[in-house]
Amino acid sequence: MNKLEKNTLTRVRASLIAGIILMLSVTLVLATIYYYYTAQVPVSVETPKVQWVTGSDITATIGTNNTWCQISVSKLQPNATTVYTSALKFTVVSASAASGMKLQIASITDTNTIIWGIRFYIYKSGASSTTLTLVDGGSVSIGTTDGNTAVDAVGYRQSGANANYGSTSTPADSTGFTGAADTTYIIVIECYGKDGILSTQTATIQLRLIWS
Amino acid sequence: MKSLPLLFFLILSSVIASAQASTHNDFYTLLTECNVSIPDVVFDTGTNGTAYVISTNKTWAEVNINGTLTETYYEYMLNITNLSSSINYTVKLENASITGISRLTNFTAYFHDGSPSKQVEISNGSVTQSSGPWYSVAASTTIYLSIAIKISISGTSIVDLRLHVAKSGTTSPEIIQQIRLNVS
Repeated sequence: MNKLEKNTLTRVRASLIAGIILMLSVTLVLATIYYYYTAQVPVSVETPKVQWVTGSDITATIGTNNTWCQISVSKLQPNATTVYTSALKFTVVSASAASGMKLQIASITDTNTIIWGIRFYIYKSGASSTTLTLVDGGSVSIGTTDGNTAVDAVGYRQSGANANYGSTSTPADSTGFTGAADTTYIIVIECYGKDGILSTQTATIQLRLIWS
Repeated sequence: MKSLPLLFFLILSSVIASAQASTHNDFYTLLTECNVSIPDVVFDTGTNGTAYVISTNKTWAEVNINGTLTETYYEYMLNITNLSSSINYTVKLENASITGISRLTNFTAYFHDGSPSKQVEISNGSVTQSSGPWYSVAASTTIYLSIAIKISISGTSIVDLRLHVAKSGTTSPEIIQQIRLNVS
């Protein structure tokens, strides 16, 4: 190997080492930046914007922070419609600004197909009454509302039931409404039991009230 | 050139944060357990109708009535029984739908267990009373659906009624059962 070749090889080696060092440096910088932003994701407890409140015709089990709730519709009857006019309430807390809200039927567990159709309505509370026209056309008086029709509704049905109950699948979302701050809303339930159902049978529906 | 990776990550972080903010939702869970209840207020055959069809759980009924050109009062068209031995109920009727209404000169539905209560009335082909007042059905008792009928011509009319049921002293839950009357 002559002197020229040695010099050329030395230059190549130097360039290669410099390149490796540069790549390592960039990798180190990238790793540092990635770690920095991951560590900075803020996680904090937020005051709930909505709180569940028990209604007047169903005893509700409400969680510690009023953000979780369970109710029992105990009067699902075969071949008949049952209407709970004040199943549950929720309040948009005063610190919250008005926001888009919707009710979602997230899932249904109904092994024996006892629910022929079910529909959940949301009314703004107040000192007046209003009339709810049921899916099959009957009418029921809803008390302690603002006197207007439901602000929102969502439902579920078996295939073959009146389509006005709502969707045959889940999740099913309501159209949505604007939840006003410091306002209480009432949830009304209309349900129709399939003919021949038995008192040993139950179904569970998981709903979500979504604040967006 | 050296600040390029940093700039890239700043922009990327900003975009991710923005996207997260725009899709932020709060979820408040509501579990609803549905339990089947054996009906307390049920239908049973009366003595004045024909071709009774009562559903398995006795919450739906269909019955045929003979329409007459002169007024006839059928006092025991359908029995409505409160099976509960401890709970008093109130009931009322509501008109649901009618076909062949024009031939109904008079169709009046009453509850009675002694004193009658007018619930639904059709006069000269028009609905003149679409629903009635709440009427008591005490525990372990039966009331009766009575029909006064007069038709103008032969034919067939179908009157669908809804029976609203609630515990005495309350308005909810309200249960709605169906009755179909075929008027020949």
